[in-house]
Amino acid sequence: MKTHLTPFQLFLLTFLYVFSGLSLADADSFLALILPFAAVLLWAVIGYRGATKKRAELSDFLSAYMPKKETAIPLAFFLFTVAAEAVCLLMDAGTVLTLEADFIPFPLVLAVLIAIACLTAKKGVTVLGRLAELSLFLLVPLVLVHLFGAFHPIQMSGEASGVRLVFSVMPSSVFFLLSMTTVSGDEGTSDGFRSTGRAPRDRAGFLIKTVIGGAGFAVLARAFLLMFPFGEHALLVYFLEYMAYAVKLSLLFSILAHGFRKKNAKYATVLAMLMLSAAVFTLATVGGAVFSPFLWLVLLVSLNLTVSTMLGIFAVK
Amino acid sequence: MTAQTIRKELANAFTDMTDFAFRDMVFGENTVTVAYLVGFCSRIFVNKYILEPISYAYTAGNASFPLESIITNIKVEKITEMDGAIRAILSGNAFVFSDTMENILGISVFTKNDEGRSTMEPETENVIRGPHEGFTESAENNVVLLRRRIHSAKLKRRSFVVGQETMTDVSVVFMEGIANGEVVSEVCRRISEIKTDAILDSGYVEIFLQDGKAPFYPAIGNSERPDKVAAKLMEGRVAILVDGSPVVLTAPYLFCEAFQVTEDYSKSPWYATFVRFLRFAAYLVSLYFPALFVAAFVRHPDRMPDFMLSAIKSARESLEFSLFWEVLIIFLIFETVREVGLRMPKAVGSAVGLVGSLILGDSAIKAGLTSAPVLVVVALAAVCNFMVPPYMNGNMLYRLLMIVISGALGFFGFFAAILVSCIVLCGKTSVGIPYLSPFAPFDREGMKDFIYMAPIWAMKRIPASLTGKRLIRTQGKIPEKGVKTGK
Repeated sequence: MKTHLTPFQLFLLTFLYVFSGLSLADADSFLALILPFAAVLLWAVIGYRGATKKRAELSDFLSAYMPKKETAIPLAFFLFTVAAEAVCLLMDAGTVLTLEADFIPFPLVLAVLIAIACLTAKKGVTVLGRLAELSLFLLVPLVLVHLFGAFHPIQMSGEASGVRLVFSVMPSSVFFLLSMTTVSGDEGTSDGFRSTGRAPRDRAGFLIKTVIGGAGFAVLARAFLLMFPFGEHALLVYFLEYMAYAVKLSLLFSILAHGFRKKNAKYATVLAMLMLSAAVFTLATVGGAVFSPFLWLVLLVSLNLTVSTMLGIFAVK
Repeated sequence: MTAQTIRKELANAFTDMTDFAFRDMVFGENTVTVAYLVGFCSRIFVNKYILEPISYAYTAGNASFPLESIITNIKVEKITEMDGAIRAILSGNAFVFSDTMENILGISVFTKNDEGRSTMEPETENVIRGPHEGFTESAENNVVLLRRRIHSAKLKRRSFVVGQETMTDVSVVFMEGIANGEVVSEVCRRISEIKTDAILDSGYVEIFLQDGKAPFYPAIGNSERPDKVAAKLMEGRVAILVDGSPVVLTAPYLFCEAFQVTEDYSKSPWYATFVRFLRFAAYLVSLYFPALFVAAFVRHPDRMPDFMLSAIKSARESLEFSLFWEVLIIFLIFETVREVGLRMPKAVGSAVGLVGSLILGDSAIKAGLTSAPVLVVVALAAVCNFMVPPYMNGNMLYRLLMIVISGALGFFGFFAAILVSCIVLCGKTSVGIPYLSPFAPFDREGMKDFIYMAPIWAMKRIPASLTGKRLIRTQGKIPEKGVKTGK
C-alpha cells in the first residue's frame, strides 16, 4: 500500500477530527472534554496490534483482530459505523452551519458539504493530509487574536450529545489513519517517516503517540476556546469548525471509498447499498432529533452511497 | 549523391526564397559550394572561416585534406541526409559540399548571425541593490550569463528542437547532483513530447509544461534576471531557455516563490520577514476583502460593527444599485482601466490610469453611481494585488468568483469557496512536486524561506521537497571573530 500521510499530517487530522466532534458537543462540561480523549486513547491502544502487522488493505488491518482470515463481516460492520457517522455528521454539521446562514435552504448546505467532501475524497488522502496542515493558518491567528483580544471566561454547562459522535466512529478513524500512514512489505519505513529524517524504532508506538497527541491537542484547543471566547460572532472559530467538519466528512468519505474499492463494480454497488440502507434504517429506528426529516435522510444517504461507491470504484488514490 | 544533385535538391527545397544563395568556388575540375541564407548567416564568418581557408588550401596545394579540417570554424558537423542539410541552413548555418566528399553529403558550419540587443536591466523586475543585467533573446547568450554566475561542471544543458515549422531551440539547464533527477527527466520528457507547429516565445512552452489543463495559478516560474535563475538552479530547480525569448522558465514553481524577491536576500532578515508578511497579508486582502465585505453587508449586516454599518448605509442612501452589483461593476470598471493602461503606449497608459483612478472614481461618486466605501474596498484590493505580481491574473478571476459566491451564500459560501480553493491548491503540483510545499507537506528547512525568512547562513539545507534528498547548503554558522576588541 502506498503511504500517504506524514506523522505531522496524522497529528493534525486527528486534531481536526476530534475537534469537530467537540464542537458539536456545544459548550460541554469538562467531562465532555475528557471523554473523547479517553476514547481516542482506548482505541489507539487497541489499534496498536493492527499497526504492528504488515498489510496492504484496510481488510488486512482488521484481520489482525480476527481469529481467521475472513474479514467480510468485520469490514461490513466497520463500514456500517462509518456510513452511519457520515450521515450523523452531515445532519449535525448542516444544522450548526445553517444557524449562521438561515437564508440558505438546508438541502443546499448539505449539498455543499457533500460536494466538498467528495472533492477531497476524490483527490485522495494525501490532499486531505495537506488540507489538515493548512488548519495551522487558522490556529495561529486564533491564538493571537485571543491573546490580544478581550478575555471573557464563560460558564460551562453539561450536555454530552457530541461525545456520542466521537465515541461512535473513533475506531474507524484511528484504524484508517494508521493504515494510511504505514507501509506493508519489507521497506520498514514509510515515505512519511523518511521525510522526517529518521524512522522511529517502534513505528506503531510512534503512530499511537501521534494520534493521542492530536486528540489531546484538540481537547486543549476546545478548552482554550471555551475559556477565552472571541465573543458571540467569531468568524475564525466558525471557519475552523467548518473546516473540521469538512475534513472529518472527507475522511469518512475516503474510508467508504477505500472500503468499497473493488474491481467488480456491481459487487461494490450492492455492498454499498446494503451498508448504507442498514445504517439509515438502524439510525432511524433508534431515533434521535437529527433524524426527524426522514425524507431528507433517505435522499442524503442515497447521494452519499452513490458518490462514495463511484469514488471507491474509479477514483481512490 | 553528386554535388549537382545536392544543389538541385536544395534549390527545390528553397524555391521562392530570395534570401537563399549559393557561393561556388571553382578550382579546376573541382567545385566547392557554400549554401546559406543571406542575413541569417554572418558574412564575416562565411568569408573568414569558410571561403578564405578553402581558397588558401587549394592555392597552397593542400586540397587533399578533408574539408572539415580546412575550415577554421569551431563548430562543424558532418551531414549525411538532405533533411539535415535543410535544417542546418534554416538554423543559420552554412552548408558546404563538393564532389570530393565520401560517405557524407556535406558539412554544416556554424555561422549564425547572433547579433541582437545587448543585456539590459529587465523592466519588469527592477532592483535597487543587485545586478542590473537581464536575459536577451539569444538562448546561447543566456546560457553564458548563467555560466558566468555558476562556474561549475555540474551545470548541465540538454537541447531540444521544438515546433514543426519554427524549429525553435529549447534548452534545459540544471545542476547535476542537486536537481531532482525525476524532475529533470519529467521536464525533458514533456518538452520532447510537445507537438505543435510553432514555438514563438517561452510562454508557449510554459502552457505545455503545466500540470493541469488550465490552472488559475502558474505552475511554472519565469524570470528575466540571470541572478534569480542561477539562485533557483542552486536550489535544485530546472531552467528552460527558449531561443528568441528573454524570459527564462523555471520548474518546479511553488506557491511560496511569489512572495520571494531577489532583494530580500541582501537585506536584514528581520526586515525581509516583515516585508514578506506584508506581501502575504496583501495577497489575502486582495483575494478576500471585497468578498468578505459583500458577504457581511449583503447577507450578515448584524455581524458588522454599528458605526461601520451606519457609515456605509449613509454613503449609499442615494444609490439604486444593491451593494453586490455596485462592487461587481466597480471591479469590472477597474479591471478595464487596468487592461487599457497596460496595452497603451507608456505615456498614454499612465494618463489613462490617472483618468481612470482619479477622475472617473471621483466623478462616479459625485454622480451617485457608486459610494466611497465600495470604491475604497475595491481599490484597496486592487492595489494589494500588485504586491504579488505572479498571481495578479489568477487572483483577479478568483476574487470575482469569491464576490459572486459570497453575495449569494454569505459567510457560508465565502468559507466554502476558501475550502474548495484550499483543496484544489493542496492537490496541485508543479512537475510532480506539491505546490504548497514547504507548508503542506510541511518541510522545516523550506519554511526558513517562506513568510519568515532566516538569515542565509541559517538555511542549512536545500529544501528536500525540491531536490528529493538532504543536501547541505551552509554550515549553519558565521565565521568567528578573529580579533577581540578591547574593553
